[in-house]
Amino acid sequence: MTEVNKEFVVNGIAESLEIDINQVSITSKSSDFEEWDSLGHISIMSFLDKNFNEITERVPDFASATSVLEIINLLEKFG
Amino acid sequence: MLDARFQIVDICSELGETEIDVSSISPDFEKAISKTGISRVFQTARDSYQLSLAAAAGLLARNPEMQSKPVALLHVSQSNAEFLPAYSCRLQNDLNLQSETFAFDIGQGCSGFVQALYLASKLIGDYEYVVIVCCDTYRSKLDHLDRSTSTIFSDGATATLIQRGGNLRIAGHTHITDGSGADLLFHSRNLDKNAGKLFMAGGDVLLFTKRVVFRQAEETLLRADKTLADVDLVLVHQASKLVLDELERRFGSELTFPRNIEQFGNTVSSSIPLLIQSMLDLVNSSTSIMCGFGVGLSSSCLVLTSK
Repeated sequence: MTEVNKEFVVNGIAESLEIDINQVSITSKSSDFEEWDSLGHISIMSFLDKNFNEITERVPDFASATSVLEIINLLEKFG
Repeated sequence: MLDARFQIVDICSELGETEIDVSSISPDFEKAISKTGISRVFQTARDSYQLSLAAAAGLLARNPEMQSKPVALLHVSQSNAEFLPAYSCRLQNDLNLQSETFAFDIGQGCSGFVQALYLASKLIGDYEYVVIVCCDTYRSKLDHLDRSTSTIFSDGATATLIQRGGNLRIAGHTHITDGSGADLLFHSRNLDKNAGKLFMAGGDVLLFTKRVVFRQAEETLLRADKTLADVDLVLVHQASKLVLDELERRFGSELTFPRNIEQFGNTVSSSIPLLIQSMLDLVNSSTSIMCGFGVGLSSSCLVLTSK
């Protein structure tokens, strides 16, 4: 289990989606935001790769993650 | 069939006649531009055959010698409006090419030009001229309010003339197909499948690109007995800015990595011909790695060299 800076991840997801940081929390889901569509998800994956050593390439589950918590859990498990 | 040296003589293009400002399609599309790198797309009201013919006729006007000898004519598209016959057969007639033309269609998208160029290199021993016509009109298939596709794809066609002689050869090639990803980028006439509209799971397609393309390029270089240090140009399918950024990061910033995504958008099978259209002298005299990838899922990679 890897310790993950949750605030850093939440902020990174908000920046990737270009939405206000205050609108995103650890409980946010993709269905909460129009911006979290296929294109937004690509942007989140780029953020994760840049900051977590190309992790989405090693862990395909990131491609289908649909919530902030799911992403954090995957980072804790595989990061 | 013999492998022979060749040159890419000329490329003509025909874009969709209507230029659309992406941010004008829907207010929330503005944010997409920084991710896609595409602020305008091109859309046609013509069908894909008309677009193909326009590009091919332009090529013929500049290169009438195409009519003087039997040619191999390859039409690459996933946008044909008709099931049969092959559009390459219609093109042979409408371009007044010789009846001995070897004409066939390739039903591929973003990897189609690279696959066709590989086949051209095999055919060029038997045919002095090979013509590759690429055309896709994805805008007629997509939901215009779908941010993932509507902000990316442009309609366009290209016609490429390849001639025996010159210095170019294919030093290495690899082709990867992963049909398990067929439903990640598809279009069906069946209304039960995404309401009959084009669908793209962007995250999964990006993942395929990230997992496959750079490693494939390395393997192709290995088979060509070359390294990245030998490469002058990296010519990749112009998918979107995010994808290009990822690949450029992998290949390294010291390599020449041309882009034209801002200019044309993602034109599917025509994106690489449009990319090299203005640099044919350079391509014909360099060592380059060329990668097309996407729908299929599929990915093809060539090492082209003049040495």
